[in-house]
Parts: sequence; C-alpha cells; structure tokens
Amino acid sequence: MKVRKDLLILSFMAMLLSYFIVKCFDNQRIGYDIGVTTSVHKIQELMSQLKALQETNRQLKDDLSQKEVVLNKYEKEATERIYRGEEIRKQLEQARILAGLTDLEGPGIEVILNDRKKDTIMPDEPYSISDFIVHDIDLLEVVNELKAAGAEAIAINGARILATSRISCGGPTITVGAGQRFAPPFIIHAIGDPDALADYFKRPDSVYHILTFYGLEFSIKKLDNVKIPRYYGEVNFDYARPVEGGE
Amino acid sequence: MKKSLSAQLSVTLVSLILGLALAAQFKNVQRVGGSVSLQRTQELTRQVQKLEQENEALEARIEEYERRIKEFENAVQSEGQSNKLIYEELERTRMLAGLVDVQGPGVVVTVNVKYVNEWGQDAIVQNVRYDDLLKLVNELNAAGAEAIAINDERIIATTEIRNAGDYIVINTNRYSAPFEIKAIGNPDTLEAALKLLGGVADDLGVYLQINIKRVDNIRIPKYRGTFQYKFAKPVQDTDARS
Repeated sequence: MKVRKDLLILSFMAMLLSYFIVKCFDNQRIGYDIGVTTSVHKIQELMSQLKALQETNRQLKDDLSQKEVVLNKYEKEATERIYRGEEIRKQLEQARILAGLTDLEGPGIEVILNDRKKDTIMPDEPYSISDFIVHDIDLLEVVNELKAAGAEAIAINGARILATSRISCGGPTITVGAGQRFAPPFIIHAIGDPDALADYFKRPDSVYHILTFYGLEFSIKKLDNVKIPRYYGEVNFDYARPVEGGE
Repeated sequence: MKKSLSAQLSVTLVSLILGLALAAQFKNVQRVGGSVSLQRTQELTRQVQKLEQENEALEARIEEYERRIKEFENAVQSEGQSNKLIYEELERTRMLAGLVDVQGPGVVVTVNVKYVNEWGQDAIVQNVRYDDLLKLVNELNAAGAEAIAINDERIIATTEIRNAGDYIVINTNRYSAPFEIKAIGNPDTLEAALKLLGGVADDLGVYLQINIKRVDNIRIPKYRGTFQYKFAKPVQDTDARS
C-alpha cells in the first residue's frame, strides 16, 4: 500500500514537471497565443460593435431615402414651374446615372479575385509570394478590361467606380475610391452584356491568363441581375469650375 | 526494495512521457483556436472598418441633402431662386458625369517615347503602353484630380484605355504617342504624387519621356461620345437596396 502511494505522488510530480518543462520552452517562443486569452473578449466586443454599426447604417440609409423623397418632390415642383422643366428633370436624372449617383441594376457578371491559397504553394516554387497576391494594378487591369468590354457600371466590394476613382495599394489592403479600404477577396460587379463581359477575359492579352497562371483565384459568374449601389462619398469641386459659355 | 525502485522508475518515465504528450496536446488545441480566432478577429475588424467608412459617407450625404432641402424651402417665396437651384444642381451633376467643359489649376503631363543611340542610329526604347497611361491616371486620381483628359479625351467612369495594335484606344478612339494628360486639381499635390521618389514618374521615366508641368489654368473638354445604357436601369424599389 505504501509503495502505491509513493508511485502515485511520484507520477503526478513527474507529469507536472514535464508539462512545465514544455510550457517553459514554449513561452520563449512568442506568437501563437497572443490572441488566445483576449480573442473571446475581442470577438464579442467586435460583434457588438458591428451590430451597432449595422443598425446605424440601416437608420442612415432610411434617413437618406426619406430626405431623397423630399428633395425629389421639391425638385419636381421647381421644375414644373420652369419652361420645359420636365426635360430639365430628365436631364438631371440622366446626369445622375452617368455620375454614379443612382443605384443601378441589370444583367452582368460577378468576378471574384483572391490571393492564391496558402496550401497550394509548393516550397520549391520558383516565384515569390508577391506573385501570388492580388495587387492594386491587377484590380485596375480587371476594371479597365470590364470597361473595354462595355460595362455600364462597376463596383468593387460595393464601392462604385467613378471617373475619379483610384485603386491604390496600402499595405495588405487596397483602397478603392475615396478611401474605402478592402482586403481580399475582391468581389467585382459589373452591369452589361454578360457574355461580352465574360468573354473579354478569354482574349489572349487579358490579365486573366497572367493571374490564373500564378494560381490566383479568378472566378467569373454571369448573372441575370446585378445591383450596383450609388457612390456614397462626398462629391465636391474645389478646383474645377465650368467653362463659362463653353461649348 | 529493489523491486519497488524499478517500479518507481518505470512509472516516473511513463508519467514524464504522458505529461509531455499532454502538453503537446494542449498546445495544438490552443494553436488551432488561436489562428481561427485571429482570422475571425481580422474579418470582423474589416467589416467594422468598412461600415464605419460607409456610415461616415452616408452622414456627409445626408447633410448635403438637408442643406439642399433647406435651400429649396428658403427659395419657396421666389421662383427665380428655386430655378437657380435646379440649374446649379444640374450643372454640378453634369460636371461630375463629365458632360461639361471645365477649367481650373492643375498639371499637364506629356508622355513620349525615349530614344537611345544604338549602332549610330536612334532607336525607340519602348512604345507607350496602355498600362503606363492607366497608372498615371490612377495616380492623379489618388492625388485628388477632379477632371482628367488624355489628348482631350475626357476620362469618365466608363473610359477604357486599351492597346489595339500600335494604337491606344481611349473612349473607343485611337491615339498614339505623344500623349498629353491634363488634370485639374491642387497642382502641388498632383505634381508631388507623380514625382514621389520611386513613384510613377520615376518608374515610367526609365523607358519613357515624362514631363510634368504645373499650370494655373487648363481647360478640359467634356466627354464627346454618346451614352447608351442598354443594360443598366435605375433601381426602383428602394427597400431592396442593400
């Protein structure tokens, strides 16, 4: 009986010892467990933050559409009093569509661009990691090809592309338009002839062949109806002014 | 006693291994949990950031609508005033769409081929490619350009810049070097963005002649093409907007 008790204590101590030895070595390596203790907290915090933001977003959109109704009414009333007012209102509507201030829908395609999956990269691959990620120039090329293929409206991750939109790199994220930063995957929607848009990427000079060669994800899906939101940012002219009497 | 010692030794050994295995097991579990939650945290942070930006933009737009509503309400008494508001709004929107000639300060960038002397003869280093122009336009937009034209071809939302043989097609019209890019905006910012050390001008300057000139007043013509929206229609049902 005495021996058994000995063994029990001894084995327990030995287990504890070896566990702490591993623990000890482990603590010297930093990295993996930084988020572990805080992550649950952090995730909960982010989730509640996200929920609040979604609620605000919904309210703001409601607010905006209410104001829009009022504004449209005033504009209609004002144009009714003008000579050929109806024509002017149509022009205004058309200009807003062209300027990207209207939500649009129609047939089109969805392009998803993503970095190459980590587990598909072989250790002896003769290319660098940089070849496997989506760069700003790749998005620029894809958008440019969609325009060439006759796209009438384009959005990247819901950010409408305007004449003055830039697509630029900011570390791991890419900035689209007036400062919306996105990380991959990039979901590009375009309205236009779905066949013409999709087939453009089959051309031999398309960026599609380069990106897929390096194993990047590049999927194209034709859709019967694509909704493209308006541009939500500010639109101001600080430097440009209309040419007086310009024609 | 001897028997007891060997038993103690073997039990100790087994327990040691068991402890090691246990520690390794815990570690693995933690690692998986850690990376998953890290991904989740990143994803959530991304969504939070996106919504924050969108809400900010929405607030700005609502403010603008409120201002315009107020202007209309103040203008109720005078018919001339409300007419003016309509025309101003039409003008501003047409400016945005690229349907109006505009003028203002900015920069003029000329892009031409570079020559090198090879075997006693002048040879072109490289033709101007569409992506050279694409990069310049993108950089000017990033620097806050309000209107851009290449060889007086106004850049609008649907403008493509593509190679077609020896030409570059812009708004379905063909052009070849030299190219003149006009941009209206803050001349300092526009110039600085292009001339950034290791920036676009440096990059392209290796094989092209890039000239950047600041101007007090340039004129950029309106888009000359026609618009045809065969596929896109305004969304009527506002509730369906996501």
